[in-house]
Amino acid sequence: MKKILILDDDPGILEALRIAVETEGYDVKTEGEPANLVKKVRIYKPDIILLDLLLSGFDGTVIVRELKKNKDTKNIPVVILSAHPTAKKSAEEAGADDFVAKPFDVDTLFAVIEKHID
Amino acid sequence: METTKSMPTVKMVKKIPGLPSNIKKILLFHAKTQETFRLYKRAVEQTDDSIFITDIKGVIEFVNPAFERLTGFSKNEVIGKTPRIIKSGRYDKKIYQVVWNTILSGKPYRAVFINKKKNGEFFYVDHSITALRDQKGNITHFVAVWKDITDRMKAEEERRRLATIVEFSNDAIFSKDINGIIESWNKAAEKMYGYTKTEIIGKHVNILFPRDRKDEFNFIMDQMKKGESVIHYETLRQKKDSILLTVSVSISPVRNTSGKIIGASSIARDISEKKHIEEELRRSKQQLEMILSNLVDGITVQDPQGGIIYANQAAAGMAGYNSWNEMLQNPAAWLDWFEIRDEFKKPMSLSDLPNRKIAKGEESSQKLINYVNKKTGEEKWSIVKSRRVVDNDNKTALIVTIIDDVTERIELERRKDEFISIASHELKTPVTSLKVFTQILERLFKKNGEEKVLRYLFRMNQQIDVLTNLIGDLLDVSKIQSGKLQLRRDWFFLDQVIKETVETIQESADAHKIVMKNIRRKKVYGDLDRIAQVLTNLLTNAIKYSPGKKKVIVSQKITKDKVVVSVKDYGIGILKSHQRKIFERFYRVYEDKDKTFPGLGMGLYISSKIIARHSGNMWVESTQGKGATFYFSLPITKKS
Repeated sequence: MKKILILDDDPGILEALRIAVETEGYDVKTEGEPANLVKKVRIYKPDIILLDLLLSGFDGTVIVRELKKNKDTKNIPVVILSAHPTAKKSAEEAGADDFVAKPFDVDTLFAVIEKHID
Repeated sequence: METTKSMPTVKMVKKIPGLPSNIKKILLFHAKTQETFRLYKRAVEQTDDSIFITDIKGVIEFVNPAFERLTGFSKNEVIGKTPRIIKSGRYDKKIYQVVWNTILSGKPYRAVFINKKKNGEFFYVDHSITALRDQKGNITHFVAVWKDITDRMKAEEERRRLATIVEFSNDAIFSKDINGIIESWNKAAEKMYGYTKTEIIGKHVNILFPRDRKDEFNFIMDQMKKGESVIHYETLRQKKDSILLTVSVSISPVRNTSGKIIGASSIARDISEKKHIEEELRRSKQQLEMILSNLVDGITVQDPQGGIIYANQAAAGMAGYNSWNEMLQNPAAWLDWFEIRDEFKKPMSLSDLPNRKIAKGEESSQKLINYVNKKTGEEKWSIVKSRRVVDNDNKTALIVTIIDDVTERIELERRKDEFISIASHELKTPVTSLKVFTQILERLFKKNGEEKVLRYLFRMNQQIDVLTNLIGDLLDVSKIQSGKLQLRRDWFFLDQVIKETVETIQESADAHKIVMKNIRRKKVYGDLDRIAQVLTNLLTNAIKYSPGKKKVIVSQKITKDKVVVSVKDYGIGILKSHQRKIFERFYRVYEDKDKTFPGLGMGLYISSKIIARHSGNMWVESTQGKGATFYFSLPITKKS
């Protein structure tokens, strides 16, 4: 089973996404805090990471850059989910693999996940 | 008539011994005659008055040395000529006629004449001409005696000139003797004090002093006696009608030719008007000061070189000084206390400050400045406006600057922008969960095939989309308002955007058929997503405002310099009076019946602004009841 790690500071979104993704047949781990994420990724070894950029004042691009620098994690595809319109550009610049604007259609999200998960 | 030195004198004759008495008598007579003659001759030759003798026709036969000295002519130059030679040219022929007539009749002629010297200089003489008669009584010669009164006349002229100056001067001028009795009084004094010359000459000068100033006279006279003048002394005097005057007097001692002080002369100027104006000025200045110091805006005035002439309390306070005086003492200090930045909070060159721009020759200049107090870290915003004030030669005389503290306003704007940005983000978050949950339910119920439930869930999803769009529109409006709508421009195929957008809208439009006409391949430069947003808005409106109708037509037209896209519907149409207003913010069309159309009224506003940012145009053609066609144009740029 493919593993997905989701990082978002909104519990509502985390819950909704977990149910959606599990129903679709993936293994899910959700995180509400950005702290030590790289470590957690190295331990959980997900096949794809979904994360929001604006995590309660914390800039998500910092994590993206860290993940892409670290040899253990740089090959894991990172998809940014964000309600912020300018986030797409920041996501690209930080090295993310894709971007989905919130609110999104679940189908759209799954299409993107499937695109990158191999 | 020459004398020879060999002619004996009376003394000598008397000394000759042994002379027979009759010969002695004759010799004595001759000697006496000779001496008398010699005396007369000496008198004529040595007198300081000019003497000349003419014949009966006026031809000069003799001139004395004084004449030669006075006129500059030697006797050889004038003997044989008439006195015309010294004519000044100032007299009419008639005068000379009178002279002739007088002297020919035997009467002496006396007058003051002005004549001309050989070198052209004029001179005055007290002139007397007398006829000389022979023993028979016939006139044989004329003798003219001149007293040179040039100096006296010149002095007289000078005196008269000074007297005229004094008499007609604008200042009151009068003189008094050592005891204070008024001796002279000019016209201006008459006017100023109200006393005529005849009324006041002979009276004591303290008639002019108000009761409480009578001892001023003693003080003035003491000064005079010491030989000192009193200059520009401001005091009060009293007119004839008892009205008091504020005057400025200057009094000087008058001396006679031996240097003794014999009186004093006074010049007085009525300065009541001047004092009145000064008081007015002082009061206006005070008023202005009060107004300026209470103004909230800072005002500074500088000279053309930038030196500070004036700053009100507000300006001094803004610059970090405790008072305007402190600012005056150290006008450049504030530059060290603050970091000056431009409207983007980037460091700014001081030469960009509006007042410096005026100093460099500009007419007026304005700038929004952000400045940070280095010590406290406090950040403020001000709009600084400078203008120049010109003098009569149209050169910069002053630089006037107004500083308007807009910190609160700017911060409010920023908080508003921040709020809207955060709000839209925050609103999208629960909407995201809502959407996901709705779609999860859809999937679950799809498996079970519950038609009704699926239908309701579909509606819920639609409404969530509406909500999402509304939130997006709100954010767009606020961005447009604050000038922060960013476009991501690139080359894209307009026809592709049209086709994709039509496809998307058609999916949820059951009752309408969107028809595409004349859509040709065309590359344009702009923000793909935003153009799609505009088209979406127009298509959504077309469908919304033509309920019950079946068709919406999208067409494209390409001209030389632009491409025009149109969306046509057959719905309710738009009244001519509304047609321009519909592009305004929050404008919604209301029908007479209670039918209102949903929406915040922002779609067309946003669309028109997006098109405007692309340098295009947006407009509508419509007849009420028959439908509407919306057009937007995009320029075709020649970039490859």
